[in-house]
Amino acid sequence: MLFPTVAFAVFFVIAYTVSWLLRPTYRVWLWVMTALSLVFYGWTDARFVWLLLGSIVVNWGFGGAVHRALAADGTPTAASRNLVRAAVVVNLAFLGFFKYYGFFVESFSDALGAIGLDVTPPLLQVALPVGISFFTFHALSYVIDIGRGQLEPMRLDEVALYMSFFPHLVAGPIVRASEFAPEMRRRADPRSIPVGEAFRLIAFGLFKKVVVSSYLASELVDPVFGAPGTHSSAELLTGVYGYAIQIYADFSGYTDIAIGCALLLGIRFPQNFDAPYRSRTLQEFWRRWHMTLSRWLRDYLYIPLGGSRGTVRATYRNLFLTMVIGGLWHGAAITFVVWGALHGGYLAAERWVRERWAAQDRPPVLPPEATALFQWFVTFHVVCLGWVFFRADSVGTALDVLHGIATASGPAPLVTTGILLVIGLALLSQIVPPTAVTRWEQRFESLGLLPQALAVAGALTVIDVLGPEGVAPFIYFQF
Amino acid sequence: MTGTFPSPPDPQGRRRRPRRPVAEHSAGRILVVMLVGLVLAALVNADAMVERAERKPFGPGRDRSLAIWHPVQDVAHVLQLHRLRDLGDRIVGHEDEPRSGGEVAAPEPPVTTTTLPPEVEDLPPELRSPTPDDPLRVYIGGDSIVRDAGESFLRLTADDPLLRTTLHYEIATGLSRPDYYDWPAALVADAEAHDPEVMFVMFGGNDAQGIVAPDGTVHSTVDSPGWKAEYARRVEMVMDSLRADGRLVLWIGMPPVRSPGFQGRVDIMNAIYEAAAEERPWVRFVDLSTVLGDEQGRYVERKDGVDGALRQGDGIHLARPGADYQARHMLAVLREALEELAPAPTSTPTSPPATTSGG
Repeated sequence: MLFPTVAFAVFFVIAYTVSWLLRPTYRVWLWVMTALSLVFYGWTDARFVWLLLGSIVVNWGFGGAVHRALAADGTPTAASRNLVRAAVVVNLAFLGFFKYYGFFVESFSDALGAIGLDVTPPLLQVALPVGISFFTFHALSYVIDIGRGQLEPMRLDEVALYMSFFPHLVAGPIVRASEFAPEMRRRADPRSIPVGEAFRLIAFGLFKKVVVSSYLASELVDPVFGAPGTHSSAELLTGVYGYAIQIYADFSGYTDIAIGCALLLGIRFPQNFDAPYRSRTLQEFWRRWHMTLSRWLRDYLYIPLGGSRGTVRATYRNLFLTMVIGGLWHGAAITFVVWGALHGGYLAAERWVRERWAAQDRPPVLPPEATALFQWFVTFHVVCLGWVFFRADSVGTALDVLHGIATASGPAPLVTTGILLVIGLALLSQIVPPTAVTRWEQRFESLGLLPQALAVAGALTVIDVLGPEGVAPFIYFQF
Repeated sequence: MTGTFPSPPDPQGRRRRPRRPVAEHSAGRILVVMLVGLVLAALVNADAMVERAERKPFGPGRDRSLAIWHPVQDVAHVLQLHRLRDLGDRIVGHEDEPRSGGEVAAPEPPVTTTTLPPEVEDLPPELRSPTPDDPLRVYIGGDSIVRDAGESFLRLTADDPLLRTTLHYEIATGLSRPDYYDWPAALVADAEAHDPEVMFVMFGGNDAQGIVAPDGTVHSTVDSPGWKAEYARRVEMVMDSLRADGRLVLWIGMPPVRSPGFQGRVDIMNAIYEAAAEERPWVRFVDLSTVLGDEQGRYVERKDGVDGALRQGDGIHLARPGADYQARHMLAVLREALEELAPAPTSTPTSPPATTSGG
């Protein structure tokens, strides 16, 4: 079920009503909300509900077994570590089968072909279950945290709701079990819901997804990346900027709606985006972009790889590897690996330059404002360079885009005033002060019941009028 | 240990601003706000909702949607709330787009009438030899399948100074539902705007659905005689409307698809395209069955000489290697036609033929 649909609006009103009616009876609430979440998940394709249910049961079982294998003082033992490893292998095997089977089979076949062996392995048509990456992340977080002695095992019905809770099921944010459990267990007060914040997140999330993302995709990004050789330098460059805004509007829009819906249900999710395009370093960018993923990569990949415990070289290697694996997580394609390597390499280089610069103790070359602007400009364009590979369907297409930006002259009919306005306003939105957002929420909360309802109806109408016919699936559904 | 990694420092997720005392509301009050807001939004946007429901494929799903939205639309019209949406559409310039009124009629057949172009003999058209100064005007039009192949064609010929190609695709469209997108009219408009000399046209991916004959009869199944007759009438009408002096229409058939049931419907549509093309010298049918299928025209995932999967996961759309492969075939068909349909040499050549050898 997609968020920006009438079906979801009806579903959510039902889920909201049922949730608050049943919340006082915790266990009934758990089962009913899990059932509703499975309806949400299986709305368009019920096949993978069984996969999700299987993952819930298996990981609940692993969690209990790992906990029993811990030492009496809660510290890990060899047995608990082996069980955690087994859980990781099982989860990644399922993820790998569904997500990377074709990629690895083709790579294997190509590698054999390169040495003269013509082998055509069976290429199964493996449909990718929506959200498999996200519920696998949730499952791994649950088992690993128990293995580290940081989390008590949860009951089956609690694990079921944690992994299937519909607002975060298909595209995050990635909520750790240690965050979700207290939110789930506390007696949420039905008399105290932050309605201004929730409605603001949902309304602006819908606007970003339905209007901004769809408009940029159809009017600029899809044509430019579809056939870069037929577009001029100005169109290609604007297309890259447009994609930077499109993917931000699409993904942050989705998680805004998810966080807003969860808030209305009495569950607070962690923030997932924090104005990433105002970043002045790539490190800052990753503290503002998909924050729950970067946190997950840090805790479950970077630290197990060794983090910054070893030599400086090992630290750079771990950073680079984490970003490459993070890139591969986005999709089974070389373009995502290049994207991850670009980010990993630049992060390492950025750190190296910063340390060298600090060691030399030189005075600043430029005034602080100019330095900040320069840093922002460089960071934004490094991020955009990464997006070229992220969006392109092959490395060749990405290189065509970059080559065209440098060399393709000609008119730019796709670069319209509307396109430039949307990109400019989206970038300016990154510097909206938090106080302005707070004031907006307070103003909404101070309205009477009917004006609030009118505001809801007005927002939905404006979004529907400005949005295109039909809404494409969220970009991050495929990840 | 973690300082190097660029992740948010607070494991609970950082909030952008400090929590403040909020005027929080009760769950019951919020439910009323949501219900009233959604009902108002439904009334204001009822016309748009009916229009969307009408565009769904004929069947129970469409009937259910219309059964829900028609009463809402009636109430909206009584309360005049639909005027708010009309105002919004006017402000953003959507007022010219189709919007259903109170009564929903059966979808009209294609609005384009068969306007015969200037009289031309029933012979294949002649295609001039393009030059860099006056490249051949090529047009590619159709649904999402031709989008992928069309984009590959554009990439393939981007550096060819002899071809100037226009691509027009509309996702989820075809010839079955002109009430959703009127391709017959769009093709005529495109032909007038771009005056193409070669037109690649490809439909069928979305056409295996109910179709309304001019008398209002709904033909739901593709294998029914009524459906075939009506679809053939539309195909023939489009072919006739694109007829012009010096123009070749290359009608691309549907490639093999994975679903056996859908393949049966594809076979019916391809037979209609091929039969209609055979009767028209200005149209050629481009058969993809063995291009994107095996030697017997059956669906295949991969093919010798193609690096990668031909098709996307749905077993219908083209993956990039498949789209590139189809584009190369389209280019080969085009070049073949250019050679075959080149004007005959004039009777008084100004220079000796190149093949003349001295003696």
